[in-house]
Amino acid sequence: MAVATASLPAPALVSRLAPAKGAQNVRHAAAEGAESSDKQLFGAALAGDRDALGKLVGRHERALFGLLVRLTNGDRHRADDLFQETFLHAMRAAGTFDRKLEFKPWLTAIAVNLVRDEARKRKVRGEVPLEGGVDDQEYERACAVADDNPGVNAERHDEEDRIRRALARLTLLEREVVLLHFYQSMTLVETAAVLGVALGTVKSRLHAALTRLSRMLEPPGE
Amino acid sequence: MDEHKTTDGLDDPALRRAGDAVAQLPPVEPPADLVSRTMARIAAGYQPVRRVFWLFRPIFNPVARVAAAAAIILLLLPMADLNLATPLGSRIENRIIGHDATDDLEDFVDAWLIRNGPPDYAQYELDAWIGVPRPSFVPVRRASASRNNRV
Repeated sequence: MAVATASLPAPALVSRLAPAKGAQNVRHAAAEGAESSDKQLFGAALAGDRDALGKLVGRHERALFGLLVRLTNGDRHRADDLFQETFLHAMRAAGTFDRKLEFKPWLTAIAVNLVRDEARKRKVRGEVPLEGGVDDQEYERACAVADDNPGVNAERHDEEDRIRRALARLTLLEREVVLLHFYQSMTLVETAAVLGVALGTVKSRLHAALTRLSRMLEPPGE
Repeated sequence: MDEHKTTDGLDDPALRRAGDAVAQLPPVEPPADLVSRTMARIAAGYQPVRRVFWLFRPIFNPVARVAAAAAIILLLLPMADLNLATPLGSRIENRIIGHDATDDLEDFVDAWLIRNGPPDYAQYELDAWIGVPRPSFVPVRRASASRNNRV
């Protein structure tokens, strides 16, 4: 399985994540406020600090949940479940976290691997993926905004819907690379690190994905 | 988008437009209670590990278990040689444990062996077997408290 499933993190890891500090100091550092880095918060969370864990989850909530919703073609329930699984796996697989790297790409890699695993299981079970996806809340929000300026917002909503449907028709591997690079604003190097592939693979995969996407997004008359 | 332009090398404007279209998708609002539910799930499925001194940690790796057993055997095996064990024992008695504590320990072990050990246990036999010279007298046997056999 691609997801790292290391045993519970060794206590030594806590000190590795927060060098020259005990768990109490790590907690204190985590309590200092928004200045605490993800690594400090993660170290404190591993030591049992719930506040630090709450901050860490809250800090990545929007970006990670958005990515998961897009990766699952707008299935918010699956994204919700995968979001929780991602953090649970992160806590359990803390031993695989390399302090020299950033926390966000590592967390994103776990999320992407979980999406892959889940998609594989659904395929084995013979479940049919939702074509185009369901994103009720986003749709409702778009409709609510549309009351202010019905013409412009309806047009924007149609365009977003078209992009969503085009994304849904890409393969998961193509969707991953497009979303990480453009939707998550990751560089190609970061994208390669998250996906665990070579930079050249990311480039070729991105090129192929965008070629298909651009064809699907072309207006019907052209 | 400048960052993308400088890093991905996508020259085709059509590809660039497709990428930009994805980049302009609006952010998705997470559910209000997602953080609290995530924390509850983590609390149920993960507990931080207490710090344990490395020597007291259990060994799970089978190879490491065999290695640990071999190390213990190799450490204790030379003790079977009395020429090595006797002076070592004397040194431990003299420098670490002390004579009084050693005597108390011997008394305790002897008492335990007499009470719970094999029925034919006798210190002099054990001493004879391991070659410790003993005075040539027969040890005093405990007198029986029963008077039934008396005439």
